[in-house]
Amino acid sequence: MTTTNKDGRILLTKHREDYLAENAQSSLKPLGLYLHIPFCVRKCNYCDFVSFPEQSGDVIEAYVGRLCEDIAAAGETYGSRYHVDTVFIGGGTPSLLTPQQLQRILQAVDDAFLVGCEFAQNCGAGLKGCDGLEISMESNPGTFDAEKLRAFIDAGVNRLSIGVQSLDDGVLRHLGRIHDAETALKAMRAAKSLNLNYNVDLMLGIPGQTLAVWEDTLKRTIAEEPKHISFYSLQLEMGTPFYRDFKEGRLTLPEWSENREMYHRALEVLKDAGYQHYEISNAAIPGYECRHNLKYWTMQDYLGLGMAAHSFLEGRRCFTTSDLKEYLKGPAEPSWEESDPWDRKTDFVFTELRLIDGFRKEDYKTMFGCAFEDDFGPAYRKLLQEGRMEEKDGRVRLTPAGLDETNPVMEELLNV
Amino acid sequence: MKDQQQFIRNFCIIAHIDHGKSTLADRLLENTGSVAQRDMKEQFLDNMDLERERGITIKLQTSRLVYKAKDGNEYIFNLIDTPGHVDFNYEVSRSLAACEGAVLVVDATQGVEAQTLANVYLALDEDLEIVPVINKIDLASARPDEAKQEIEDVIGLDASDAPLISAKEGINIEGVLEAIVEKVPAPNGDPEAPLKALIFDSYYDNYKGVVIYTRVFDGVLKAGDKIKMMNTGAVYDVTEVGVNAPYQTPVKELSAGSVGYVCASIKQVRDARVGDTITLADRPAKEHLPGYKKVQPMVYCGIYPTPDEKYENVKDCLEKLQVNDAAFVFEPETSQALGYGFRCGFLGLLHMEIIVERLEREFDLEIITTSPSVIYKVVMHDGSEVMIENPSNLPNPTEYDHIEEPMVKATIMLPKDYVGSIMALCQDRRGNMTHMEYITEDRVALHYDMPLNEVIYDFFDALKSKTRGYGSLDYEFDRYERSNLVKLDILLNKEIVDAFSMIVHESKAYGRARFVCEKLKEVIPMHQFEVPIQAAIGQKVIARETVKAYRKDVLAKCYGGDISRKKKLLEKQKEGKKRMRQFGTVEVPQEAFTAVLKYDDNK
Repeated sequence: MTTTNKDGRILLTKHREDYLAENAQSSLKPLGLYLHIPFCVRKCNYCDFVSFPEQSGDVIEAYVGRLCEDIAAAGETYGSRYHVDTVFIGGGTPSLLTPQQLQRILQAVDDAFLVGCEFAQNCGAGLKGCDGLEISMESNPGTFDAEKLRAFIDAGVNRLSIGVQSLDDGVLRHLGRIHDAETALKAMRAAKSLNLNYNVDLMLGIPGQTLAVWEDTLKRTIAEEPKHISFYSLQLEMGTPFYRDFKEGRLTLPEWSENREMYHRALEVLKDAGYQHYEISNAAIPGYECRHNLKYWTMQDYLGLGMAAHSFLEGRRCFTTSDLKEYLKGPAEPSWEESDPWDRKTDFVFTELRLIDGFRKEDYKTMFGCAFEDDFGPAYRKLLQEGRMEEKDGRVRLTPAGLDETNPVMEELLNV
Repeated sequence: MKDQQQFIRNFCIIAHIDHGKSTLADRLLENTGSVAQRDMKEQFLDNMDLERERGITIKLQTSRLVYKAKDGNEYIFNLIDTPGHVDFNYEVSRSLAACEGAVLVVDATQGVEAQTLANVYLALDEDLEIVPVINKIDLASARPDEAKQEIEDVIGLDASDAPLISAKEGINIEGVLEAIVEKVPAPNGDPEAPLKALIFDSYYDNYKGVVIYTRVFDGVLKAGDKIKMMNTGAVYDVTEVGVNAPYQTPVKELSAGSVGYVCASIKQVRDARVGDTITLADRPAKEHLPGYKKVQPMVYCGIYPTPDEKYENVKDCLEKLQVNDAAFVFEPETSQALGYGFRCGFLGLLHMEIIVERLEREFDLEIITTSPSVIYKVVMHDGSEVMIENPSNLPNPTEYDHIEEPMVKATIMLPKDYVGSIMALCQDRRGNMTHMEYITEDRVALHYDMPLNEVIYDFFDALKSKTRGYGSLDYEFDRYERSNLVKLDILLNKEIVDAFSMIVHESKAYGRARFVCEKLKEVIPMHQFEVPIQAAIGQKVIARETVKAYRKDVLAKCYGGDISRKKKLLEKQKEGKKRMRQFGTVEVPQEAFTAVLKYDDNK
């Protein structure tokens, strides 16, 4: 059941009263829920995510059915220990779903879990994008209009992530995107017109993209006033057309220095426009950070449902099958990854250092019972000396130089 | 006692893959009421995929059937099965030696094939009575008369009264049973003479130890006897004798003319070698049955655990297989590239594939196999000879006088339309045609003298591909011959990867070098730096490719699903290297080792 609160934002409310009453004494922990929708109109040239283009409506319908089953089962297993405070519907292209399908999925979540609001007030971040419950959905321009978006909002979505990537038609074609710049602008304007909190995904370091083209994309995006912007450097992943083309000399990437220039330019432009750079490739108007994604970078519990979905629960990681047929067959146990205390320590360092503010040494000690230096001393001192890491007010973080080439930094730390 | 023997028929079935051997065996069992066909099938079903894929015939279990013939007498039929593939020629010949007759199954739509012919010749060598049967007559494309004519022309057997049957549809199975009664001679051993029993098969059973399948020629064998293996000299106490009817059923004794099994607490299959003669320790026969030989591996390759697999696991499984397979040998070896592993010897390429496949499918091991190699004879300057099973052990060219390589006699049967392309293929593989014959108007047999090293590479795949599956191959070892061979090394980032080293004929070195470099370029992922791939003979680089560099320094994005994967990528310097092997600093995926062996149609 959903209803609109007085700000025009949407909340799942079935259990709200009960939940508030119960949660006053209860010890239900917050849980992020990731739901994977592995369907796309077409596969982009750089994409190595688990997604299946051109599926029939029957397959998608069957998938939604299976997903709802999994959500119900997860409620039985985890519902008594957790309340859900973020939902992230990723893909693939979730906006390919019909509003009815999305409604079914979110209804299943509402039925299976206590969906909660109070957490936001306690966490102190003063998040404004949603009132306690963040429900994000990924989308691609060209798969929805304002009317469909309105229906998604009615179903419960209160944060939209739009895969724009670029506002240059040449670059978009090169990437194999299904939309042009005009369609992307329309998508952003639809979200804006509905007063919806939305993010825009942009990509830099793309073949054929110059610094000027990148800056133009960035500025025109900012003009649409999204609350959140993600800016990624294109990566060639094995098995993609881009990877093969590059390896065989048919594709040229911007020089490394140019790639970094684009990144630095983005930081300046975003800062001038009032965005705060809070993670390597994410910036937001203060208070509109993506709470679900923050869980990934702060070692909080999240549960991934659907196929090819990853979870991190009580210190253990697991993932579900990447085989669509197998997934559709029926419920199956996820594969649990083995982890030891060292894995958890390196996970912590690896994820928290992605945040621009890094982490508090105190928190490390509380979590693991020993000082950060005890575990990572030699590598850490080396990185401090080289100016790739820094320490301030008890916080450890990467310097701008460290952020530029994070892999070598992480390698030093992980192989200490 | 002689009377008893006259109602025994010991026979085998010879057929090409897919010509209906197992189906006919099922029907014989069913028609004699011996067993429901289901039960028998389970015993070899596991291997069916392999059989289909590779054109080999996996053994059925030896079975004893009772048939009430039209003459009113009850006959004991011992159906002794033979492995069909050339790699197992010796085992085939011993199985045949245990019989008096052979049912030759010929597909009415296909005619006689190379492997069938090879086995028929083996059967004729053993003086077996051949009972031809024309199968699949229910199919619209059946040409029974032509099949008969082929049998007469090619093998020189009278096939005029061969039963026309369909094993699948159960048509005229009776005809086969009657032909066996009439044509296959009864055994005529001497039950009073000292024991002479041929071992024609054996396998390892967890509870009973080695179970020997034997044909008793003279004398009597029973539980409690002290037996002696005449060739190995080993002595054992018999704990049980019995027959397969078709399940193992203990009996009091096995007397002259019978076929059955023997258990004697033997621990390894190699202690009860196929071809050896069992006699009684206290009353031995004067001489053993003819034809004993110790089988020697002809093809070697390295088997290594992947980084995720334990060395000990691989060792355990190899030991388990060896207990059951006297022809399979292995010993530990070390590779700079792959670490600790084993050098394994096989009868042939298919034997190798079966073992590798079983390690992967049955034992669920993750292993890397290196390029198969034959055994080269290296003649040193002082005349001494060194046998080289691993190419990377080849001495420096200054240290030896010359190298000799094993040669085989190969027979290829195929429809005449493909003769041109197969002759080109054989020539490319350094084959010399000795002669060619037309079996029928449309079918041809090509006889070649060829180096084994060319046959084991990808010849079989190429033959199948170029003849659309209609070509068949048979070969046997002939001799060692002096040859102009060189060692080809592969270097990644300037370092030799010993596991890729191979010995090739000088004339083929450039082609192979280019092929391997190109394949490796395809499968080796991009690194932060350029990776040169080189092929070299000694110091001389004869082919080169480069994998481009790709700088991947930025962790541009990272969400829930990426964390473990990305972290592991960065950690692999330390240990992980999931499914990858690192040489110097170059990561080589496991598929690289098989990619360089695959037949490439476009080449």
